[in-house]
Amino acid sequence: MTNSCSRFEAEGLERLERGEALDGHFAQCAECRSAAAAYDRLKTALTRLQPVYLPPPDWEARVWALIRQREAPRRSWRWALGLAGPLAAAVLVIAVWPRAEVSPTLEVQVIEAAAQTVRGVTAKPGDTLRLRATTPARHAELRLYRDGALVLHCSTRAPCRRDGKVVSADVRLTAVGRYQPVLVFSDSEIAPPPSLSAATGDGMNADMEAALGQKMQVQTSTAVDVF
Amino acid sequence: MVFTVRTADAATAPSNAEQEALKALEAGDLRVALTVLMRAYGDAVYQFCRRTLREDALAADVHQQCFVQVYEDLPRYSKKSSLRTWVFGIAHHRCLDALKARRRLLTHVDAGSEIPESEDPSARPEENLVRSSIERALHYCLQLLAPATAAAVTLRFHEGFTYEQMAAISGEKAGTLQARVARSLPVLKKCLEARGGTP
Repeated sequence: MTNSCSRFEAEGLERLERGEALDGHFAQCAECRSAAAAYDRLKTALTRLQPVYLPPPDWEARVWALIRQREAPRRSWRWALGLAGPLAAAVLVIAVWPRAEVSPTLEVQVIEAAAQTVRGVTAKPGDTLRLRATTPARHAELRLYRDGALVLHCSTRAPCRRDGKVVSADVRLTAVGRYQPVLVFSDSEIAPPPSLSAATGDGMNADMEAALGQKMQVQTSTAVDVF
Repeated sequence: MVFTVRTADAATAPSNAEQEALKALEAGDLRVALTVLMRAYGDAVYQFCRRTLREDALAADVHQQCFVQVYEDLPRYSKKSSLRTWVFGIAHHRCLDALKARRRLLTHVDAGSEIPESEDPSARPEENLVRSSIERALHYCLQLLAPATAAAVTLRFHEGFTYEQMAAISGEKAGTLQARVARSLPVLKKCLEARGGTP
């Protein structure tokens, strides 16, 4: 192709993709006919391209494992029904928070151990969970529960950092399970989570009920499954 | 990552799967429906995720999350599109979410820990399959396209979706997708020619 006429690339390609007919020029112009034939061959090659990437061999089993993990807590979190009223009240409080120029947020990212790249909401032991919360309140605490048991709570001491309205932490995931990050915030001092002193079956339930009972605000994020 | 070529005809298997999955869905058997959909579309959806995300680990995670969401959303499937289109729609949105999350991370992660560009699959040592030079070059050139463009080209040519179906999958207008695909073709052709392949 000499490129003395570039109408096919400039117009013809898009018209063909739109399913429109080409005008008489394209039938008579040798460069356009040649270009059309080359693009036909390219499209054919694209259509016949064989797949080169395949999912991990055990991917279906992993999907079922994730589904089981997601279903199990749903069944056991009956407390959520009982807390529907207080939670709705908490949401309302957040909505009308007098100093609500900053909305509370809690973001979660999983950083793959080896490559420092982002995974989805699943992780493997050794990966890092990056928590980043913004809060309008004077006091804020990040908590992390594994399968309902408290594994971390901090506000300014390591691994947490507070910078203005942002509290963040990088947490290395060492064990399999479902990790649920929680942000607790309040203008009053935040009381220690009750599950620290009393071993209960599901510390997260107890801590959430206590926090809401003490008029603290609670924000949760997507849970992360480590397997 | 295993690097093999599958020769199953992607166009014929899914239509049976579609019927089978619908039957299971109508019977309320979500597990059978998901199993059928994973077998029928699992590889194609992974291919799509991998081409869009360009990273094995991330594509594997998003691919799995996609089918978890398929399972959770199946009771709400409204039959406005085929199950295949619907599944690819979920995959498309999951991939976009992952791309956004990756962009956010790159603003926080230290320099030097950038996401590595995926290597040219045609250059992998374990590849021992005979493929034409054009095909090898095409696999390479597809990686040079922007993620949204690579996704559109994959859906259009590799998966054979119509632009209307692609619009349902992506939520974009068919005209936008047509223009995107049309503009990608000269880029691919130029890349192919630069690598010694002439379409």
